[in-house]
Parts: sequence; structure tokens; C-alpha cells
Amino acid sequence: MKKILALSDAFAWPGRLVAKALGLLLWALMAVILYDVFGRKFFSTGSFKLQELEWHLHGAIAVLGFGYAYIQNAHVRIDVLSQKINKNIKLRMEIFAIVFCLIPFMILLFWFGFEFAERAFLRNETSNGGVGLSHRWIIKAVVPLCALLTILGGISVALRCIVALKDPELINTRTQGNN
Amino acid sequence: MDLFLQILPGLMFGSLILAMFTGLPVGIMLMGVALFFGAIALAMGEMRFAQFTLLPNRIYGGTIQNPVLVAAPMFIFMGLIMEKTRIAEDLLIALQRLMRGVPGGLALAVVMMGTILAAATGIIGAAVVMLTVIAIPTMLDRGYSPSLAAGTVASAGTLGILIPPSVMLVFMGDLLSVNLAKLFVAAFTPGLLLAAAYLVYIVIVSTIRPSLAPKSAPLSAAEREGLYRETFVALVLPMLLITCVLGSILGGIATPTEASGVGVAAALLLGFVRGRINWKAMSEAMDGSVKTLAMLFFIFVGATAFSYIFRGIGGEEFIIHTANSLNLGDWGLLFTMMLMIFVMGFFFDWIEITLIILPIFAPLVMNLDLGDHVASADIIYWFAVLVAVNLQTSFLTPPFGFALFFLKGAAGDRLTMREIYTGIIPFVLVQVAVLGALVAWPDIILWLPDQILK
Repeated sequence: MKKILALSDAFAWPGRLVAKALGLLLWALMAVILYDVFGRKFFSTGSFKLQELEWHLHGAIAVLGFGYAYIQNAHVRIDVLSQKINKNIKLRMEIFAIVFCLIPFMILLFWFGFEFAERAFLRNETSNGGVGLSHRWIIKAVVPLCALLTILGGISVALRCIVALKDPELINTRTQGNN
Repeated sequence: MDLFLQILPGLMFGSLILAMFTGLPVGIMLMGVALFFGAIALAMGEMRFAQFTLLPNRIYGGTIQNPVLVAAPMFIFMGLIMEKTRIAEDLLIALQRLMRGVPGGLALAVVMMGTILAAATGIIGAAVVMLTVIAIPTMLDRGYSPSLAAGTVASAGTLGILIPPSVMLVFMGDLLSVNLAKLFVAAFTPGLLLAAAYLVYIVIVSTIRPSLAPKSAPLSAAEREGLYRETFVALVLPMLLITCVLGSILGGIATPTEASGVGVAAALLLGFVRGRINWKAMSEAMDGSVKTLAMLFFIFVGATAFSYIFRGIGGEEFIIHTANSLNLGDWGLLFTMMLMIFVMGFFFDWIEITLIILPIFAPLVMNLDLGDHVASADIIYWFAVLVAVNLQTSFLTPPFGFALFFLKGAAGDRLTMREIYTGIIPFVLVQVAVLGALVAWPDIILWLPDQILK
């Protein structure tokens, strides 16, 4: 069981690492907006490129943290009716949802998203009209990357659920366990 | 078979409601239901496989390449910085010191705090918990009736979903494809009206029955020491920040996105002035923002997939057809939608309602024709603000309103559920009165945008 828990941690760390980076991107987004606003108001330097960079940063922050939020149990649950369900049944339901809902969906998203980004790369896509940023494939690649990170996070949570089912003591002795 | 196809959208929607009550993450349930009904649609020949490969385009276009939503991460980050650097807390303490001599002063301070800091409180639970932790102990220690204290905190804590810059309005504006600045302006007057109505209620009740809200002793000489300076720093600076952010949006100087970025910088500046910027506060603010955003956009992605399949199997026609066959008329339809949103507010946060239900209702709202009552171009703004006030009321209504559960959770043994229920009822009545006024006189909502944004 300890090995499974260690494996769960191994699947969790890419998400944790990316989440740290996303925190830093928030500062970058603030800086870009400030530069854009003050530049345009006072030095007429603001540009279309900056505004594109703003939503590029926003897009990365918005979708790359899914797996991390799952590991941290930050996703919304409606637990008004489910509070009375037996804990073991809940854990089994969680594993079921990860294996049959989350992972298949994310595999499709990864597959289609990969083609989506690949197409942008092969065609050397740029912004519409060409006045914005080039290399559109970089931000489009965020879609498959998001799917991949979510799968890793899902596997990590599922493994921890398995440990919680088989050996509840082990989870209880660890302070960081959320599930 | 034909019948099955016809009711398929209804089945899909029903399955989602059931799936959400399992207590599993809502986003995953949305994806699961989308997968399952996508597979049925594929098997029945309702959708082609090539349509599914367009899913990344939808997610990319809806969540990533979306300049409007850029305001969301920044407003959430701004709010968390103000919370973690305890600027919000200082503000309440300063307000309470200022208002000590006034009847119901502490309660008034809580409402004013909720109004001013609505910016810092995108998520209902967080706002109610924060106000409870800071304000309830002080109020009870000074002999306030637990009911009045509970009612005040719950209603002030939920104002944040309405008063701009509210994150909910950012999402609503995006999903209903309306001008965000105009929506902010439209929500402004109703928000202030509600706050004013709370204030009036508190003043009246604490004048009639002073035992509910005993006046505190005037400040002693020791407490007066440095009072003005402290009040200035704790009160005026945050108000300045909010005024700048809001003012630049309302005045049409900045877009909500620009204002949100400047707001983060201003919140940081305040933190520096107070000497509260340290690694721990900042990393908590960063981590909290990343988690909140992931939570929001996870549902957003799930809802994108859900509504893509829902439309693919004819959901839009199903909704319009069902609504027409009910034969309710335009007003009846409006009230039915409002009632449904009110009931759903017992179980779901604004996140699910805005992201899942609103897009389903949107085609019906666009087709509403209320004649001279509201101009058809403005209906969508009016409707959005009504939904916001309606949701806030729902969150406060016993026995399910979940702002009340957050209040109970954070207050622990200090408040009983009974005290909370009796305390909230007058505030719910205030909400209903204001909601009625907004329905009857749409100009309360639409006048200010007309004046400012012409």
C-alpha cells in the first residue's frame, strides 16, 4: 500500500509543479496589463500584441490547474444529499467516476487537442490578420497539455482512493491527505 | 424511437441533475454525462464523429481565446491579496470603531464592509466565512442579538455576487454575450439599493428595540490614541482602491480587464503600505487563486462539452418547444425561469447555475417580448441582474440557503441554526421587496447605464 501511495505522489508532482508556475503567471498577467494600460494612456505604445498576450496568459492559468485542484480536493461538489452515503461507497464512486468519466473524456480531449495544436504548428498559424502574436500552436498546445495534467491528477486521486479503501490507517496518518 | 429522440435532451438534463447530487465533482459529472449522451447521439446517427473532434476548438474559443474572461483571474487574485494581507479585516475593525455610537453601529459596519469589499469576495462561502469569523464574536460580545448578527452577516456576505466587480457578472456577461461594462453598471444601483435597504432595516429595528443592538461605550482615551491615523489607513485607502477600480469601469475610462490588472497592483500597493507583503501571504494568495480558477474553469470546460452535445441532440429546440407548449406567455415564462433558478439556488452555487443553466435559458430570454415594459435590446441586462438578485435571495432563504450553512459552519457553537433562521427572515423579505421593485420598475437597473454609457 505504501508503494501505491508513493505512486500517487509521483503522479501528483507534475500538477503541483505546474500550479506553482501558474501562480507566477498571475504576476506576469498583471504586469502585462499594467504595461498595456499605462503605455496606451501615456505613451501611446499599447498594442494588439499585448492584448493577445493577456488572453494567452489567462488561458494557460485557467486550464492547466485542473489536475492540481483535484489533488487538493478544490473542485465543487454538491454534497447536501450525499453526506450520509457510506465512506467506502463514496470512494468506489470516486474511482468509478475517474476511470469511466474523467479519464476517457480527457483522453479524447488530448487526442483531438493534439491534432488541433499540430495543425496550427504545421500551418504555421498566426493571429487573424497577422497583427497579433505568431506561433499560435504554443497556446493551442495548452489544450492537450491540460488534458494530460488532468489525467495525471485523476490517476493520483484514484490511487489514493484505493489506498483509503484497503488501508484507511495509512491515509489517516498522513496529514496532507485530502480524500 | 422518434419519441426517444425527442425526449433525449430532457433525459440528458435529468441525468445531469441526478449525477450532480452524487457528491462527485460537478465538472467530472458534466464530462461523464456529455460522454454518455455523446455516445448515444453517435449510435443513433444524431451526431457525426467529426463533430466531436471540434471539441478542442470550442474549449479553446470559449475559455482560452476569450479577452472578456481575462478579468476573472485578476479580480480573484486581487480579492485574495486583500484577504491574505488582512486589509479586509482592518477595514471592518476601523468601521466598527467609527460606528460605535450609532444605534446598531456594529451591524451597520458589517453591511458597509460587505458593500465596499464586495470586490474582494467572488465566492459566496469565502465571503460569509470571513465576515463571520471577524464580525460575529465582536457583535455577540457586545450584547447584540444573535439573530440580528447572523442575518446581517449572511446578507452582507452575499452582496458580493451582485456588486461589481463581481466574478459572477464576468461569467454572466460572457455567456450571455453582452457588454460587460454595461452589465457592471446595470448591477450597481440594485446592489446599492439592497445595501441601503439593509441599513434602513437595521437602524429601524435597533431604534425600536435597543436591546437587540446595545450601544457600545464611547471610546476611551487610550483607544482614541492614533485613531484617526489608523482609521485613515485602514478605511480610506481600501475605499480609494475600490473607487478607482469601479470608477474607471463605470466612467468608461478602462475596460473591466484593464481595471482588474490595475486593481491587483493597487491591492499590492496597499499591502506594502501596511507592511504586510511577505512570502507566506503571497504564496497563499497565488495558490488560492490557482485553485479557485481551476475549479471555475473545470466546470466551464465540462459545461462547454455538455452544452455542445445538448445542442447537438436538439436541446435548444427541446427547451423552446417545451416552454411554448406550457403556454405561459412571456411573463409566465419569466416567472417560471426565476422560480427554477431560485429553487436551484438551494442546491447549487452560482457557478453551476451561471455556467450550466443560463446558457440553456438564454434562447428563451432572447425571445422574451414584454412590450413597452423593457426594450428588447435591454431585456438581457435586466434579466441578468434579476437572476443575480434572485440567486442571492435563494442563498439566504431557509431552510436550504447555503450561505446560512457557511455561517453556521464558521460560527460553530456561537449561533444556533434557529437563531440564524429567525434572523435571516427580515433580510429575505427585504430581498423579495427589492426584487419585486426591480421587476416592476426596470429603470432602476437600466437608467444608470443609459446615463453613463451614451
